[in-house]
Amino acid sequence: MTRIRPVVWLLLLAVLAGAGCYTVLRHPEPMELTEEDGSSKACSDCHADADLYHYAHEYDVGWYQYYPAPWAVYYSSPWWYDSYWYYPPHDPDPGLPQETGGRSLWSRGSTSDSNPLPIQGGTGALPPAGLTSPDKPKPGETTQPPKEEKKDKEKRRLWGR
Amino acid sequence: MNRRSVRTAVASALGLLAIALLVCGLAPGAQAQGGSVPEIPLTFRSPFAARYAGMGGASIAFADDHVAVLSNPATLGLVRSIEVSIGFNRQDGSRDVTYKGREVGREFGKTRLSHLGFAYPFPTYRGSLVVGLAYGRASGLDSDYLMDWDSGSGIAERETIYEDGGLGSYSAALATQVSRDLTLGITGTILGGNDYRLWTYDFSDQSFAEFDYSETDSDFSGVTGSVGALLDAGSGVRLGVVLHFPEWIDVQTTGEDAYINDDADYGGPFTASESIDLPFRLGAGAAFARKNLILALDAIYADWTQIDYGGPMRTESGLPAYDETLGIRAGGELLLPTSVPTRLRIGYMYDPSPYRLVVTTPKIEVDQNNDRYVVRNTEEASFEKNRQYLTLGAGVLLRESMTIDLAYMHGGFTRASGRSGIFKEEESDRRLLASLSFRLR
Repeated sequence: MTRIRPVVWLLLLAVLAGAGCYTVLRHPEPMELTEEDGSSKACSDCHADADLYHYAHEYDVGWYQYYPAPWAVYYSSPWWYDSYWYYPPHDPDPGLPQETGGRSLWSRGSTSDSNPLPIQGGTGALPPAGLTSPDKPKPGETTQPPKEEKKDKEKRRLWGR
Repeated sequence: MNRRSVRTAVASALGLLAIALLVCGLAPGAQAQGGSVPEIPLTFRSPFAARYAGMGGASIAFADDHVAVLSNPATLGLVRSIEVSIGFNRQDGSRDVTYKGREVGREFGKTRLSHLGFAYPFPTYRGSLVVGLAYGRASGLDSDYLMDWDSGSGIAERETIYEDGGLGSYSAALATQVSRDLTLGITGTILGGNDYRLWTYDFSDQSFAEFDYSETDSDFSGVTGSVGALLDAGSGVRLGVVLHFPEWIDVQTTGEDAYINDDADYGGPFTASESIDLPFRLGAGAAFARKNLILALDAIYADWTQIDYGGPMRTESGLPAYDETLGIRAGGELLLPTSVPTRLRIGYMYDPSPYRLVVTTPKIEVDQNNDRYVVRNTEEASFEKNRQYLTLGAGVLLRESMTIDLAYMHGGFTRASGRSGIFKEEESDRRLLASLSFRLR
């Protein structure tokens, strides 16, 4: 037991240290996510590598593009996608004005080529297909930032014959 | 009172004397057993979950579910949904032994919980951070063995071994993506399990007879762990590597044994505290995705000569009783775009036995008290067919959140005494695995 403990701690520290290199659990401060007019910034406004972010790219789409759509969704869609990043395209609040040209939270804008999911079976099979036309928050209403996760010793007795 | 009961009673009555003799190292049984190098069945690791069992056990480079906790913790970083899973394993085996031309066999079967798992991916903006918990039946010990030979002229031998138990892994793992293409993971494992074993050996010839038996209950406890890496090489190629740390296992045994012959009787109840150290295992795997198809290949290396069980595992002549092994696991999965999403699998697993010996003929030796006792000879084993399996599997996806997988494995090995050829053992093993996984969305 004592022999393995230091190794485990070292490796655990290495993994945790590595988590800060690439994996991002929360948005770094300052968290200025809205424009002056109240519309939301896109990730690409601040981050050159915004295409690595999950809402823009399903994880490992390179691998799961070979899967039929139901299996691709099963394995590649993050469980937090809907509640954290995804604006359902078919469930708009009828009381809200529909934005046509602005930016919503971390949107990459309403472009016809922004669908990032070349999954077999049609991109419509995957939730992120609706990201191209997200709803705009009410004027004066702050966009909700993503929720953060809380954090007898010499003798061989056995198998002898 | 039958013969065995009489012997048991005699053994119990002489228990205190036997313990004293054992302590002094005078008991012939102790000498005989201490000189042997047992075959430790913990070296064989069968696949836990049906999906990977159907693919010959290949999983190091692509196990994107809780099974990663047990196979390669790095691939746990691929999990995107909260997952719970359970699986069972039905094993039906047989061991046919041919000894001096006479063939006998035993069949056995058990249904066991094979794995239980949970994975939780933390929400991330970029990359991944996933924790997982899993139980896996690392090594099954269920077995039944019979060797029975009678010359018809007063010389006879009969040996039975019944074993019931297993070693389980209780693991926790953490994986995170450290770059766009590289994921690392670590697993810490507590080992636990038990084993009931009953061994009997009956020998007689015209001038001497001996009956030996040992009945033991053992509890295992230990620790181990693993670290792994997964590289997404692009174009549907993943490469994985995993290092399983040594397994340090403590064994607490209570039991009773007896060595009863024409000259002396020894044995009695005993307790024993022992330790077994199993060596590092290094695995590497590659997986390839193409349209509706996954191909996977694993290679696992272990230097079993480093096993330490009451000392190095060497024969009396100083040769290692265990070998290095390189196991191969390969499989394919076809994903069918049917109305009920279905996938079919086929695989092959080659997992050679590291134990190099077989127990063969008896010989009669004499101890310091001029009492005779039986010692079993061993010979180097020759394998007509080393342990290998062909596997099949299928699975369906229900309501986008539940998968049901089945797998069938059929294999075994055939080994014989290489020099004399008087002993041959054929083990056949058939396993049916079923797994159910549910992903919360």
